[in-house]
Amino acid sequence: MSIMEYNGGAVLAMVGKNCVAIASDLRFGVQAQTLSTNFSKVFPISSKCFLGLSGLATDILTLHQKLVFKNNLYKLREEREMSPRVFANMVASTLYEKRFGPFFSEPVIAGLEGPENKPYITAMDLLGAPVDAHDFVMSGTCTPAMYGMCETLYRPNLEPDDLFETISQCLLAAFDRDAITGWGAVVHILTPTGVISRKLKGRQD
Amino acid sequence: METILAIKLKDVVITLSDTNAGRSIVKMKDDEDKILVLDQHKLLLTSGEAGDRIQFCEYISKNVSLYELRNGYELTMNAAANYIRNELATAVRQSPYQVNLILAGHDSHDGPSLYFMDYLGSMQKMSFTCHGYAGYFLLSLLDKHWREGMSIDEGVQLLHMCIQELKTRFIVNTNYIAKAVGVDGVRVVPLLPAA
Repeated sequence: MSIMEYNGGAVLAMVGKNCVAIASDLRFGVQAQTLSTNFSKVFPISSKCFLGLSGLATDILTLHQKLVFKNNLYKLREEREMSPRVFANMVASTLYEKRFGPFFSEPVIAGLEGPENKPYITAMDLLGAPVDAHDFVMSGTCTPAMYGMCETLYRPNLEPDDLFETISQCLLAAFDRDAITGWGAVVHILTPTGVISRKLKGRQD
Repeated sequence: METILAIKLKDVVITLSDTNAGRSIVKMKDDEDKILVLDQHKLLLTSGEAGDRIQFCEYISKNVSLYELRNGYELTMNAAANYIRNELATAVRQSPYQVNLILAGHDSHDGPSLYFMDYLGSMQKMSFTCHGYAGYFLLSLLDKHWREGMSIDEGVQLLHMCIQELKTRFIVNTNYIAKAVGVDGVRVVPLLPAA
């Protein structure tokens, strides 16, 4: 039993045309037992930056609290919002600080960078080693299934509605291949004009 | 592992706990009250390691009282839940409290609410939940019969259904105690005597 598979869960982010999408499943469970179907693993940091966290539920909550705290201090001191790239760097440092006793959580960050709102996504492992991608990133217990679906269905420069369709199909199919993810999904589409959030139903098992 | 469960109704949260106190195969006491009254509008149900349960409960209880004494008002449910979670999460990497809890209560902000927490510091706000072996029998029963906005009578009926299920299929035979917490405070809910 791996500690990263104790609670289960998955997060996926994808780049579109002047937009990004980030999504997660909604299951909260302990090994085989599902306890709640309303645990979103994607958290807003600002209107232009969202953070997704997979892995151990307690560390998801702790990391979220720590990062929101650090973000708020930055906003108070600098009197401006943190850009997604800078936020990602801060997440990586926060994780590496615990190199020899890490948080068991692997983040995915999605945002719109700078005044031109250039899409930005990145993911890292539990020690904070980042990987910037131009198409899609994911973390969680069903990453192999998600990689397969994304590689097949992804096309560059998708409009927000098409991006929503694509990311939804990728998630739902991938979740069906993993017993400890699923029970619905939440998808957030970040565009320069605002955030559109939708809940998906999917197979409730 | 003790049975603890809580169900959110329209105006109150109703909670159930077994009254067994024992070690290994010996039942030392069969009328133990495990539902701690944290303050006027909060109940803390705990299950887990014997010493840790009592020590952790008392620690939380005294700190919650201290907040009320210092500030003149009670903690909100969300604040209390996050406080307890943070205590558990801080301890988990040093000397974990092996305690699983349910925090049930009422505040003016959210109405009746209940929070599930486990010994690692995971937390979820839920409509109904159980800890321990009871979950294997009762979660699906509650999925089927719980609805939004149930009255207290319907809630008590649901509790009796849960007790009946445990009496039928769970190997450990015990008595149960139930308490409800609402805007008027905490009260013991009388359960029908064992059939």
